[in-house]
Order: sequence, then structure tokens, then C-alpha cells
Amino acid sequence: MQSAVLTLKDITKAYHETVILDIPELQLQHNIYWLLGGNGAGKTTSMKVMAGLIPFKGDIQLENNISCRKQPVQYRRFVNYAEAEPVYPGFLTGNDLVSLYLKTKGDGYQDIKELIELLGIHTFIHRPVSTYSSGMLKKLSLLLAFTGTPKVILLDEPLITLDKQTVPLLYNMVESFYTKHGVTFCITSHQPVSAVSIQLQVQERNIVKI
Amino acid sequence: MALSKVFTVRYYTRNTGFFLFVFYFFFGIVPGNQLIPYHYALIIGFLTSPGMLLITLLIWLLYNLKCMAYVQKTLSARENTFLYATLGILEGPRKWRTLYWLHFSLYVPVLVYSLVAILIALKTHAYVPAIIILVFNIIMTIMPMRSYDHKIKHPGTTPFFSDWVQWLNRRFRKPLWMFYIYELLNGNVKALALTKFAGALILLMACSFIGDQPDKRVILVGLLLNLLAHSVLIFNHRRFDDLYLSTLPQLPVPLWKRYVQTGTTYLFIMLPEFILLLFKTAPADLLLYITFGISILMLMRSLLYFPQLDQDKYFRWVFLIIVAGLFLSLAYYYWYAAVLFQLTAFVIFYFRYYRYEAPLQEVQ
Repeated sequence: MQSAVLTLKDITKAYHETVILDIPELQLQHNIYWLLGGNGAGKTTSMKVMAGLIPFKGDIQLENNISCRKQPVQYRRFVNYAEAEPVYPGFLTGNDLVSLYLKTKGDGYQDIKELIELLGIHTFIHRPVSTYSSGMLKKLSLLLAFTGTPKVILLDEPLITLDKQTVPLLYNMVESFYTKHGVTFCITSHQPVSAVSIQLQVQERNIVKI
Repeated sequence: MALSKVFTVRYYTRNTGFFLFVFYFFFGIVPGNQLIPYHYALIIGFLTSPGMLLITLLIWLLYNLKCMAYVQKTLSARENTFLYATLGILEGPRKWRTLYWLHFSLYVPVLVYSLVAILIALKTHAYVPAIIILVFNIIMTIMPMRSYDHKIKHPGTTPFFSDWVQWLNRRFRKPLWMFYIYELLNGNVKALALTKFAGALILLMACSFIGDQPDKRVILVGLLLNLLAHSVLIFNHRRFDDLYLSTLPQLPVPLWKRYVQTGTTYLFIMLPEFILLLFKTAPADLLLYITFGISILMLMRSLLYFPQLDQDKYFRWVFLIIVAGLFLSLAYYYWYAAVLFQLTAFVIFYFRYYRYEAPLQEVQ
């Protein structure tokens, strides 16, 4: 059996008294996962927890040797995340953000300039993000999620606001990073991104494989 | 008439606060019977000193740029698109007359004061300053017309300033520690200016109390009050991080580095104060003031990693820190205070950073 890339153990996430997530155990092997769930089911919270972005009870292990709690910096080096509705300070340019991510996450599997060209970001990368449309902002946040050498990439609603030309490009990037570089994906979306994807569902505060 | 409503009336309505402040500064702080001698002395001051004249012209230039920026912004507003179809079809002298009148009506407060200054200059035989002021104001009223004409002929084009900013963006990447400074300069410039103005006054007052034998404690009291003024900016820093940089904790950056980056941000925010202290006090004491000041600001920021700390609770804690700093300084324990505050700030930061989650009302 394949060893787990991501292991969630005894995860609990609550806001005030309301428990949003209660996951006794979940193991994700190398694959492309498609996380389903109705509005307010806890998909985004699950992604933020897996990204180590918000506090929670329990622990998440990457490849059974890097703990999100005990080795937060290493964990974040190998787990990337793109928000559903990205927001950045308006005065920053796309270039400022790319530079920050490259500096902290390091050089990527693929040359960043190639990805910038591929997604058509080069035409507006030097402009402040306050001048971007929501689709342009989305492209930038997706690009940032592909920086460094992650083992897991979490994409929250990556298809919303993307134009028709970019959607197949994203499909190809996901496939290529999955097959060539061994990256595991967890994607929340209302449509399957890859034919080989496995479905996960947020059911009664737990995440289960379907 | 419509142009006056769109440009002039709206300009003075929007800038009521600014003009009230200027009016108070020029006419409110002096008793009525001394008003004329006060302004006469002020005008003679800049007519007889080239340095003062230069500063005066600089202030007028800044005001002129403010007027220009307003007109450009108004021309770019979506609801004023009709201006391109009306102002845009004027030709020849009529066009230039309209544009001149438009700018003149905004710049008129400076022109009135300049006219009085020129008359006094002629009376006192200060012909060179009179000619300088006259030529300067002719340039100030003519220069903007060209840019307005260009804007009307090319709607939707970015002004020269935007091109320059874009040129700069291509060559310079903003480091993380500069993000909040940019935010203050872009979206919060009023709060920053007010804090700096009040803070500088406090420090200058503290410096004026220094006798022949300088006492560090007097400066530290001034610095503490200055830091109290900065506590609002520190509180807004958390809000900025929560709203716009919520994914920052996802970056693989060691905690000590994040701490140093925050400290660097505050060091640069406090730079004007430290430069002031460098000139006004013994340079050897500057290290103490920097260490002391930054440690207190860092403690204020670290406290904000407790999400339940709302504005009221935060200012109560700030007050407590300032009082503690005051007593420790008066007892000559300022170095101990600086180390104690810095250590406490780092311990809180270290244990709270990854446990912090923005309050829901902040991010919604």
C-alpha cells in the first residue's frame, strides 16, 4: 500500500462553541483529491487547517515525518495553498508577491517565468494588484501556489473567475505537477479537475473518501 | 456654471477641514488686534530671507499639485465622462480661458496672499522677491493647463506619475517589512501625518526641557508619550495583516525572522523621531532611545496576537506598558526596561504567532 503524504490525526476546529471540523483520522496518499461539500460544510476551513493557516487541535503529518505543529516552517515549505478569494494589499505588484514567494519558498519545479508566460500574467505583473480584475488576481494566487518545491498543493475553488482559456492550462499544470513532480493535490471545486481524481466529502464535520 | 459645480464648489466642500485648519493657523491663533502686524511680519520674513522664501514657494507648489491632482481625478471620474464631450470640443482661446479659470478658482487662496506679499514687497523696495513671486505664480497657473488639455484629449490614459510608478515597480521589489509602511503612505496617510506631527511636538517639547546637564529620563518621558501616539498605528497594523496578508503565516519563514521583520518595520516608522533625537540629544544615547522605543512597540504588537484583545482592552494594556516604562525610566532602570519589554514581546510572539486567528469581524 502507498504511504500517506498527508495524515490528519484527531483534528478538531471550532469557532467559539461551534465545532466545524472533527476528523479522527484521514490519510491522503499521492493523488489528486477533489473535496466536495455544500456551502458552509467546512471545505475552506479544512483547506486552511491543512495549510497550517489557522490554529486547530490535533496534528497533521507530512510524509509521516514533518509535523505541522512541531516543525511549522518545514511543513509550510512543502504545503502550498491558494485561497478561493485572494486579497492582497492594493499597492503591491504581482512582481512583489512573486518575489516574496520565491524568496521564502525557493526555486520551483518549473521556471517561474515560463509559468508567468503560460498563464498570461506577464502583461500585468508590474501593475499594482489594486488594478487587477478578480480573474487576474486569481491567476496570480494560483501561480504563487505553484512556487517552490511543494509535496502538497491545496487549491480552494481554483476555477471560479478564471477565463475559458486558462481553465485547460490549469488542468495541464495540475496533471504535470502530479505526474512529473509527484505533487499531491487537494482541490475544492464543483467540477472534477482530473480524470484520475479521488473524491473526498465533508460529511458531518468529518472528511471521508467516497 | 456646471463646471463651477463639478470642480470649484465640490473642491472647497471636500476640503472644508483642510481650509478650516489653515484658516485657524493663519487667523485663529493670533488676537484680532495683532492680526495685521502678525501677517506683515510673516511676509517681511519671507521677503527678506531667501531660505524662508524658498520654503514658502515650496508650500505653494505643494498646494498647486494638490489642485492639479484634484482636477485630474475629477476628469477621470466615471460620472464626469460628459466633460470629454463638452470641455473636449472647446478650441482656441476659449478652451485656454476655460481651463485657466478652472485652475485659477482652486489656486486663488495662494494668489490672494501672493498679491498682498507683492504689494508689501513693492512698498519696501524688495523688487527681486516681488518679481520671483509674480513669475512663480504665473508659472503655477499656466503650467497645469497643458496637462488638463492632454487629459481631455486622451481620456483613459494614465498620467505621467503612473508611468513613473510603473517604471519604479519594474525595478524595485518591495520587501516584506515595507508592506505596512506602504499601506500607511497609501491608505492611511492622514493617521500617519497626525501621529508624526503630534509625536514631533511632544519630542520637541521634551527636548526643550533639557538643561545644561542632559537627563535621559526627560527624553524618555517624551519618547513614551510619542510611543503612546503610535499605539493607534500598531493597532491598525494587526487589522492590515488580518485583512490583506492572511496567507502570510503560510510562508516557510522562521519565527525569529518574522519578528525581526516586524522590528525593522517599526524602526523605519520611528526613523524621523530617531533622527530628531540624534540632532537634539547626545548621539551616544541614541542606542538607548532606539532599543527602548522599538521594544515597547514590539510589545504592543505582540499583545495583539491575543485575538480577544479588542480596542478597549488593547489601549488599557498600552497605558499599563507606558506607565511601567515611565516608572522604570524614572528609577534609572531604562536599559532593564528595554530588555524586559523586548523579551516579553518575543516570548508572546513566539508562542502566539501560529495560534493567532483573526477575529471574524475583522475579516468579514
